[in-house]
Amino acid sequence: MKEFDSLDPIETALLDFVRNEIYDPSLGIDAGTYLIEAGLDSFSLLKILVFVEKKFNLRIPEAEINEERMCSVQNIVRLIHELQQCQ
Amino acid sequence: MNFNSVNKIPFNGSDCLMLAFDCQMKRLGFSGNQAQIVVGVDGRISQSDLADRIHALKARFPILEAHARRGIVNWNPYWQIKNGNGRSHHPCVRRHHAENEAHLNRIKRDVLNRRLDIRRGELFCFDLVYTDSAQVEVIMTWSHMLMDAHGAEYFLALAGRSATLAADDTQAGLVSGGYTERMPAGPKWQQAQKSFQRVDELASKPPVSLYTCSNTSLSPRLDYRVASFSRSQTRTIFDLAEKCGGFLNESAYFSAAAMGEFQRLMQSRNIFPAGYVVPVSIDLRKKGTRLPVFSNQSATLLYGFDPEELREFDTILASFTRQTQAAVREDMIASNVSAMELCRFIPSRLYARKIRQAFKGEIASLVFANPGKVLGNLSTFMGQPVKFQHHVPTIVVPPGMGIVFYTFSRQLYITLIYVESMITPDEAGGFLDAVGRHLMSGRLI
Repeated sequence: MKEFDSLDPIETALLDFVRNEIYDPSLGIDAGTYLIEAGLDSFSLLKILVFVEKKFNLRIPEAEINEERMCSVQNIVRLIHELQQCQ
Repeated sequence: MNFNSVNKIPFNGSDCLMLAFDCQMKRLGFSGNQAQIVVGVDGRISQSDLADRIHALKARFPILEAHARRGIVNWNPYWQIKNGNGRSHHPCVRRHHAENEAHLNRIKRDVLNRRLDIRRGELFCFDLVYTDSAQVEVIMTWSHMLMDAHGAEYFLALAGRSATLAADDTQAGLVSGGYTERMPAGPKWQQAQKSFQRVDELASKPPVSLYTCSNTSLSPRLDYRVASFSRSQTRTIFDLAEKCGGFLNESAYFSAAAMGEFQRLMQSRNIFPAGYVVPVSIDLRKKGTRLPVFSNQSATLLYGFDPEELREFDTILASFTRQTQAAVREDMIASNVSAMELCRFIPSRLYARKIRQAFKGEIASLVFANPGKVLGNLSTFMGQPVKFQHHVPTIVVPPGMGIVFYTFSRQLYITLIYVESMITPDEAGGFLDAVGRHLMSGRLI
């Protein structure tokens, strides 16, 4: 269950980036899409991490870069919110 | 867009780099910059059925028998598609019969070293090698100028009817287009400069290839060996890769095993270069698409290693990961794409020449590639079950040696390709065994 508003600007920005810059836009990636199954690789993952770092001024700790945390936009957004709360 | 109206398709920057490597290899007497996919099929395939299928695809995609040409004024390369497409006798579909394993390997080696007649529109060919055990190996050889491995995989799946063409999949949709005849403007020059600066950085510790050190008596032929891992071994390797290198970072893990062993091979030959350089191809297609097919869609990232870094598995892994992160942060992929774009406008293919000049005639120490999972849906070919699939790229010379990691049907495969007699088949087998041991243990052993 999502713990944040569906119009969350973080989700909107991240989803827009993932949908258009990482994946073929015609795939229609949504917040719940399982990114790894859809072809995520190390370079794409790094691009997402660098995007998060630049856009939200937030560095995701290495310990959090795992399948569970990175498997969907929804989960990455949840992680960003958690990290922001800790700041 | 009606493809019949298209008769001239410009090369993109990556195609031009492949053209430069093709010229370089032919100058040295090799067959050229070609590549192969070998598919092991459990059952019989008719030569004529495959030929019919290929010719049907050729009628739909006339680029498959295009002629490589250059502009009269600007010397830019392009594919020219002539009227009356589909009438040439290319591509060939040849058949062979292998009497035993040694004969099979000899045939495959000969096929690998056969030169495609690109000037006459022979951009790819098929060889069917029948054995006594009711199996056939389907070998597709293609010119790397036409398409990269991902494009070739998709095309092979079309030929084997494993992939379905959409009704609107015209040639125009399957080639890269939109290239102008004009030189790229300012920002691309600046971006490209970053890529050239990277070459200059690495040139302070230039690589030395095994080929250059043993060049005096080598015949211009390539050979290869393939190692495979069971599904459980593959699972172990990927688990170890995640544990040692981090999530989705298996390229670094594979690189650590390959480079560690490569340095040992160099040292056993008393070759001690100041540095090692490894080019890694990055697929530029967005995830979830195989398009465009008839085009090279890759950028090259150059990785540099100090000899000391290559002594331990962990230090190689850390160095590779650090360089990947820096490349993404500094947008080196876009820089390399810009550098290759400029290649289109310079007859001597600037980027390749820049590397050769900076590295004093070398291009790299070793070529490394990890295309990831090969096309998942090639489980059958012409209705017969597929048992295995190998990628066999020809390796640019020098270095004349390369290693490719790929996963098919949840099994890891490694192809080691090298200039024949530069290393012996036994040494090649020993190299692959050692890389396998490193991968299975997560350290250099």
